[in-house]
Amino acid sequence: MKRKNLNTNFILGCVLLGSIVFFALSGLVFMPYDPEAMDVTAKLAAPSFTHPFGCDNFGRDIFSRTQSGALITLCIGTASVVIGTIGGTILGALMGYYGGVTDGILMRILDVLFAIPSVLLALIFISLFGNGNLNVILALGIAIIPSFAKMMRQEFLKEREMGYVQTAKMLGAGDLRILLVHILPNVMPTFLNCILISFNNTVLAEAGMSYLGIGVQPPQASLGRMLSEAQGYLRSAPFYTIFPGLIMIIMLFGISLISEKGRKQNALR
Amino acid sequence: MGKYLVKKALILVFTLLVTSFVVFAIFAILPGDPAVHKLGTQATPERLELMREEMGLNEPFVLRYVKWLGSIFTLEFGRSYSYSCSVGSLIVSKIPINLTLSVMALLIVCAVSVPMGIYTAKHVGGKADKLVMALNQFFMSLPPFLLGLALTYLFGIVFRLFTPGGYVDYTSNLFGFISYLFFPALALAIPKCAMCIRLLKTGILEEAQKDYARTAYSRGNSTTQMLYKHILKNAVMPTITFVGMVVADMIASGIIIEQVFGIPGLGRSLLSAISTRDYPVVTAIVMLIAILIVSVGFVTDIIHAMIDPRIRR
Repeated sequence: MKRKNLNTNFILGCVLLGSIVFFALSGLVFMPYDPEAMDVTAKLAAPSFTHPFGCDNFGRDIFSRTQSGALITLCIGTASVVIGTIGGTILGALMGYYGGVTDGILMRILDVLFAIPSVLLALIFISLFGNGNLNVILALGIAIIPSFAKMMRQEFLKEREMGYVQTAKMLGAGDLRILLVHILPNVMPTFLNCILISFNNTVLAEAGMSYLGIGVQPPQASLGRMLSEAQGYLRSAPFYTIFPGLIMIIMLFGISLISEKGRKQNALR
Repeated sequence: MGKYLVKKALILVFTLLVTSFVVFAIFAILPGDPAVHKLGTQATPERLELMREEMGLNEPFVLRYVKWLGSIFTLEFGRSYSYSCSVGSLIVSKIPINLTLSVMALLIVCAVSVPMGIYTAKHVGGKADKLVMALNQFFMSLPPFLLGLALTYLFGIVFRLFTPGGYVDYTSNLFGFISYLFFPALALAIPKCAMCIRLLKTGILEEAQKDYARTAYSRGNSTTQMLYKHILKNAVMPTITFVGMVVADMIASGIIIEQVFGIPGLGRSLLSAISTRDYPVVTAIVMLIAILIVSVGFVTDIIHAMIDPRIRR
């Protein structure tokens, strides 16, 4: 019963996220308007057949902007998760597999990073190195590393003592080979969970940062940015908030349904 | 208990020291001279030298760090670059706003999730349980700022229960201040409520299957007695850890929520300080947040130890 429930949630999540990915990617093939083209005659035009989601305060087509904004969000999320995964796994392996002094020092450093919320960490990073998509990706990627490394450390620590690792060592396998070929496949479930949870958090953080105006820079569209601009027109043009908001809700809900399984296992421990 | 307290307190002090050093060092080794930045086009070598002296930039790094460390206790972080008022007074006036917001959100989380968690665990599989669980899954995934926008639209524009952007300062009207903060606090609290309900429910259900629960039941305890006397104490542990994390998260999400509802709190000062490169303000606020988060972790550990003697090794 419980298992079935989990699977339906997982499938629903895949469908929701898949439809958003399709929506975003379809913008590459078909986009009704240029997302950055302004049309003075269509300022805050209500949804119609020509502009399915309406137009924003500069007369830009919201449908096209939502398409490209969703794509940017997904791309930034993916790129940051790649950075975070590489960094987190290396650090986790260093701490868990080798242990000793390295582990002690790195743990203290991670403790410090844990004292600063990841959004704040990204904020500091942006304030030091300036705006721009690449910096946002780096900032979010670095913000993932502490929690990722901590979760992976636990796993590497457990596996280190296992018989198969000892055997591989005796057979003369190098550390890198043991880590990548022997241990990593064995910790796959946790590894995938970490990736999914990180992706979930990154997309959330990116949305928040763009909303604050320190993520993707205008005129490029991003969902968070659009929502912050739309807020000023909440009374006169609620559709401006509703459509980007709905797309974001579907995306986040889908991701959270997919990453649910992992969260269930990790949240309680 | 005493030994445990001392050990935890030492770790707390150590973490804070390292954090303070990292925060200070990041902004101190930054390329670019704040004095040049402040004087802008009016910079001449003599005036620059004077300004550096005034800003204390000519002293060695370690001395500056020690001075700054001392300023954490006196809340005198020097002068803000862009406002030319003391950073301390700038921050102190903002603290009540963020404190009220976080405490209100935390109260909402506790007031909603504890009864709901217990209720859904007691009536697991029932209609209410199914409804709550489905809603939970949804609300958990929402970012607070999106909820904030939805609440603004629903309660501010459709039902007109509050004026969006009509923030009232606590010095002028305390009641208006608190009632304005209710919806921001709600936006912060809802996703956390969802998490807490789930954690508490799974905790209770897990504990209820253990041997000691069965023994207590077979000795003739009623379900209610068992729940409150035996199970809850054990089941509440993960939730307490989570509430500790919630406090930390609320500060980060609070930065965004302040922006949604137009509240001039710490987050807003931080954002404007970041955009104007006003580093004394940035370091002070970041350090303040770090202190808060580490202390909350400390308090969570103490509460754990008070409830569960096994932890006090």
